[in-house]
Amino acid sequence: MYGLVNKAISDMVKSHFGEQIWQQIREKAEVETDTFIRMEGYPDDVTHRLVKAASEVLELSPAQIMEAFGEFWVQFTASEGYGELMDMSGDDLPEFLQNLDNLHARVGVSFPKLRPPSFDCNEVDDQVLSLEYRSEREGLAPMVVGLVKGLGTRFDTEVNISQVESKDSGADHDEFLIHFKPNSVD
Amino acid sequence: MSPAITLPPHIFTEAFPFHFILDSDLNIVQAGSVLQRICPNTLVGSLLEQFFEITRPKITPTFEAVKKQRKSLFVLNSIHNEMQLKGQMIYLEEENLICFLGSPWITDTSSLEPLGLKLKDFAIHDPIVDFIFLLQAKNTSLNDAKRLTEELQQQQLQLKNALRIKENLAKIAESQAKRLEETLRDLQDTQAQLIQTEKMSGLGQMVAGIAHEVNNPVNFIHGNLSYVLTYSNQLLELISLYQKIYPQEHPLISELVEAIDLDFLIEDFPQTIRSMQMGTERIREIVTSLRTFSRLDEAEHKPVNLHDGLESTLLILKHRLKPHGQRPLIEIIKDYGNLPLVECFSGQLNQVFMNIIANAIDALEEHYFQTFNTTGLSLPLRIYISTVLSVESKVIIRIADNGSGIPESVRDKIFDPFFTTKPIGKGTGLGLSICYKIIVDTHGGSLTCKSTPNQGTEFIIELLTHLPPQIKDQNLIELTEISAEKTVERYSQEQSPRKIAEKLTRTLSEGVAESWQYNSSA
Repeated sequence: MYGLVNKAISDMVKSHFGEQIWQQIREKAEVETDTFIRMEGYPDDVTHRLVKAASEVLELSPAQIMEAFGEFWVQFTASEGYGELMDMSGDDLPEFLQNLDNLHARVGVSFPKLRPPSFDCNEVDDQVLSLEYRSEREGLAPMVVGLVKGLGTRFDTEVNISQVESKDSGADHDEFLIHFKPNSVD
Repeated sequence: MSPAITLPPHIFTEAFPFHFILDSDLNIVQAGSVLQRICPNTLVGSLLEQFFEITRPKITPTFEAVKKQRKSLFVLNSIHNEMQLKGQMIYLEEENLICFLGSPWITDTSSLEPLGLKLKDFAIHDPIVDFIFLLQAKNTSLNDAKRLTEELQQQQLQLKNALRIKENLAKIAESQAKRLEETLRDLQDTQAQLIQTEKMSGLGQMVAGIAHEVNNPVNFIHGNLSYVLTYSNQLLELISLYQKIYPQEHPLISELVEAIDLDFLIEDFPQTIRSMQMGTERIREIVTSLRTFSRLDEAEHKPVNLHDGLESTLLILKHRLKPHGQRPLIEIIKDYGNLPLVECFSGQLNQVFMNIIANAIDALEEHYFQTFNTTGLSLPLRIYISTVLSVESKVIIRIADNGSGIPESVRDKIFDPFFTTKPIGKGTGLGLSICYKIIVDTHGGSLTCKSTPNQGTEFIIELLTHLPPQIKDQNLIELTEISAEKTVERYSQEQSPRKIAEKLTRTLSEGVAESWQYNSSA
């Protein structure tokens, strides 16, 4: 997992709960460094330990933490210098989600060690999308829920997301059904 | 072999959204949909120069010139905005047209939005998007490096400050330790000085008593012995005259003459008195030596003959030099130079001589018995005392023995207060420390020690013939003590020791009170 993710966890905890709680989580996770280099690859274990420790300290389930993190991720990446790239990736939720796989594929091409996930977005109906999510990593599906919700906020679009396929239930991928409704139309 | 399949026009447009085609007049006859969208005016039908300036290669923008540059990288700058197109010009021979294939060249992601470009505007195969990703990653990494460098610089600064603080603390600690050490040394010196003062005071009182109690009756006896000798001679002459005039003795007288062995008595009586005179003379010498040694009458510095002090010390220690048990005589080998009078506190100097010579005797005795017990050899025991006036007008007194020497491990400590190698209860460890203070502090001289194992030890005292001025001033501080000693001396001439002690105590108390009042008012 690249350092950007760990930094995002750190920033999210600090902005919501303060520096002291973050230090508590970091110590509990036995993560010695407090500085993550954003484009450097870190062992996945570091991220998992941080999420587990945050779950224990904040008394939230790992799924709740990951969902909150997914939502935070959208605004975080925009603020970390990827705003223009996100702007380039779409003007509305369906367009952005359809470009999401390209975004990750290009990241994977430039930084193969980061092993980004893949997405496949298809229009099911008017204002209904299906989003297939495939990742080598486990337990990140709740993050996708948060991510879509965060994109809903970004594009001022009401979002209702439900998971229809789950690797936890034996499927080979996770799949989400997204009902969306833009709040304002240009 | 030429490919048989070509892209249909709508696919070509999708694959090259930023392409355009020029005719022989450099009119744009076709353009990619995205390029058309982002250009402010109608692109198709316009001249190339109305929209773009060819910045690379450096050519005159004519159809023929462009046609020749089929192997060149073309860079075109938009006249209407900041867009820069990068690509190649391909000459289409059959149609006599030139086709530009390329896309916007982006070096800063922030320049995308003003151009109205989105990711989807680029062909999927176009690496420019990946380049944009890499640019962003580079910027992110550079920002990280910058942030880390700043953090590092800040930490270095903090570390420097911490080191400076640590260094300061270490200096303070060192300084405090030094001060503590100095204070401790001062305390030890003061304690040694107090003990010395007490000892000298006790010794002074004792000597004063002896001087008074012994000196006067001895003088009385000694003075009268000459009369006794005269009277006895006269009586003996009278007896002799009687014997001449009255040779016929009365039987009772004859009987007594025989009983007392008059002839022997006449012969022995004057000798007995002369022996008594020698005895009292000897006692007077000893008393004089004691007085010289203690020098209670000389608490102030004055020029003295150091040889007198050395001789007095040797006289007092004479009994210790004599053979004792199995131990033979300790021989004193003197080599006195021609010394001037030396300005000093002679009583204190004598104390130094006494300590060093007594130590030499102790060392010789110990060395003798150790050697005798282990090897059976009876070593000659010698103490060498020499004096000389150096070319720098310093008086040098050397006192050496041929004992076992002082081990190197303890040589540096011998002048430390309370350091002793003698068994517990035998040495106080103050002797040489006091000697050092007397020579160095009181007289501004030097006291050093040289020692070679199994060959002996030599103490070298160096003194100036005149006390340095600061030493004289310093010793004025000890007026109370000197005054007390003077008092002892004065009373010793006329009163008993007990009364002296009482008066001394009274005088000292008054002195202290006066001193306190003086300090208080100061």
